Amino acid sequence: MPGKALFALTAPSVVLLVAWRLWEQNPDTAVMWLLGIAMGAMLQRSRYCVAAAYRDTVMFGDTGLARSLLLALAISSVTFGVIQAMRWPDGFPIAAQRISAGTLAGPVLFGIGMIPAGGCAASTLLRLGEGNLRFLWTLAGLVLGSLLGAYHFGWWEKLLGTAQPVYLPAALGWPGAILVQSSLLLAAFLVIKWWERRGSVLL
Amino acid sequence: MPENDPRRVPVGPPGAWPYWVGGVALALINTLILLADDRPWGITLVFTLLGSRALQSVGLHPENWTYFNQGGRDTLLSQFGWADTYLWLNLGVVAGALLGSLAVGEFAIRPWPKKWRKLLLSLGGGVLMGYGARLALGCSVGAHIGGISSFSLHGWIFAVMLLVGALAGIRLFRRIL
Repeated sequence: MPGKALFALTAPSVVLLVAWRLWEQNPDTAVMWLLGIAMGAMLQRSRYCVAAAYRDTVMFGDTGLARSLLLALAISSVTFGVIQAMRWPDGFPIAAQRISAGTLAGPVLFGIGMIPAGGCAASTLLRLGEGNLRFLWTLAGLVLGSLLGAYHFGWWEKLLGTAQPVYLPAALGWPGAILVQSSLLLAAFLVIKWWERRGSVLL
Repeated sequence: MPENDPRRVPVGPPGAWPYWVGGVALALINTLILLADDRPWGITLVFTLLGSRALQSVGLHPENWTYFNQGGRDTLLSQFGWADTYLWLNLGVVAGALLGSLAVGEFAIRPWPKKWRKLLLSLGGGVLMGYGARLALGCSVGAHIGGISSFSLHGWIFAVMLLVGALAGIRLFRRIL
């Protein structure tokens, strides 16, 4: 098929040409470009979507994506755990997130929004790559909303005050953190399994 | 669960890979991102920075907002540019999905719907997600997956509150989707 052959020749060349130009400017951006392409291609081929993991479980009792999300979390808990214990024994940059009213309200608003949008931020990027232009509107919304959120951020922090970030290994030690983390992952898995076996479909 | 329920999202043609492949790939590539960039995959921060640059170009001053002046975020905006690693990571994700769908003949330009109602649902959903992600210091990828994987409590809080939000969203929108 000439179309396939043309694609097989041009796609890698374009990817590598961009990577080469980025490498000259800043090698880090070239590495991230290639990792992003790997991520985008893998998630596109497997129809991955965090929003759908939650929605399909709740609405349809379809837990395939939710199980796969748990699998991803279990694997990356191990890999991130090893990297963090070796590189950042005192805690990892992302763990230094203070807890505020926004930490509680933010995910609720995010969860409400992902239902009418039909996907999360990641699937917005994936659907755009597949050529679905409806997600340009979601993208515009994401930019507008995240600007508004940044503008109001101080207000949300003042609302209930802020609590120090909780990095489980620092709070409980590594054995305790591993125990809590695995118990939570296992509990989530059992709840999902129970929900599916019950044939529960909400709403 | 009825396979032909109209509210069900199409899972694509039978050629799609199983979900667990996506889960394993997500975990492993996210680990490589952490090794390469000292932080896991995050998406919406780039949107905030791009939008802030647009505001600056019309003479506004987002750099004075509280968000950009604490929590180690004070240099984010001034350092943001074409060399930003998250920017290229997310451009790569779009390109990867383009290549993935082209490779199997799934790629097709689908114009946005003509109905205003549908466009507003997409736009409004995006606004809520962007706003929520900024308050929570990350989206369902950065705060949820990145937070839990790095043993931070805020990731687990995100997961529980996201479920609450999804339930509320389904209740609110199930009739009009």
